[in-house]
Amino acid sequence: MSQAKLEPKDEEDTTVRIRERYQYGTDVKINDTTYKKLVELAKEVLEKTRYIIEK
Amino acid sequence: MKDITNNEMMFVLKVFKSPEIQHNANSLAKLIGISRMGALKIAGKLEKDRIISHKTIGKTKFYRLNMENDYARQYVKFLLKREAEQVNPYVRIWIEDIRSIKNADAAVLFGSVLTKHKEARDVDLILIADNKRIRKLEREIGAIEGIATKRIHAVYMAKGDLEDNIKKGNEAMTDAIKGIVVFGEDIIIKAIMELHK
Repeated sequence: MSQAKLEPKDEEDTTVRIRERYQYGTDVKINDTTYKKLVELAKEVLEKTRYIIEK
Repeated sequence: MKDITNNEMMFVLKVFKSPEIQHNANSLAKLIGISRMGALKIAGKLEKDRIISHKTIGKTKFYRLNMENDYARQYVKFLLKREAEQVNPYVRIWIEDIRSIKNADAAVLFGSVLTKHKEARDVDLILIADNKRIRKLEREIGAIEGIATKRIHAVYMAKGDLEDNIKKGNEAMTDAIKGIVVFGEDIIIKAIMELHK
């Protein structure tokens, strides 16, 4: 499971940080397969767009 | 300067990229898809401009490029650039990406991407660079692949290796040089011109 966080990984959580994250921030979790599919889809969209421009 | 027709361009590039073959009007007509008379007419015009010359064996004229003539070399260089500009739009996307490479002296795109375009499985590429820059070059290739739908199958080689392989008649190399020269035309011309002498 890939996990994207707003804070860098090496920063330890503090009470204040946790409170702020829950109050104002978001954590994003995404399944690996879904993530890969989305990346491939983005690549395809980019390629098709460039093809249309070149045509 | 008179316009260069597509058939003239193909005539010159076929002779240039296949130094291992002795070309006559018949063989060139078949390669280009024109009549023998058409090929003879083009040959006559190119001979008049001193871009090609011929030697006669029996009754047949075999054509070669006058690579010792600077005008012919510049003419070939121009045609290589023009060929790269006139490719299929899908191939052009790749050409643009490959042109962004800074750590190579020359690049030739070859293989199935030139014929199958989007349906090709990967993108074959010859990159001419010295050993010191290979790491940086690999990173550049990685960056291109990062936003592309296909993998690049790159063959890295030094200038000398390219010339040696062509001289030895390495079949894979003689096939690869029939591809599209993306940049570094002078290096490719220099490597191939030895075989036209």
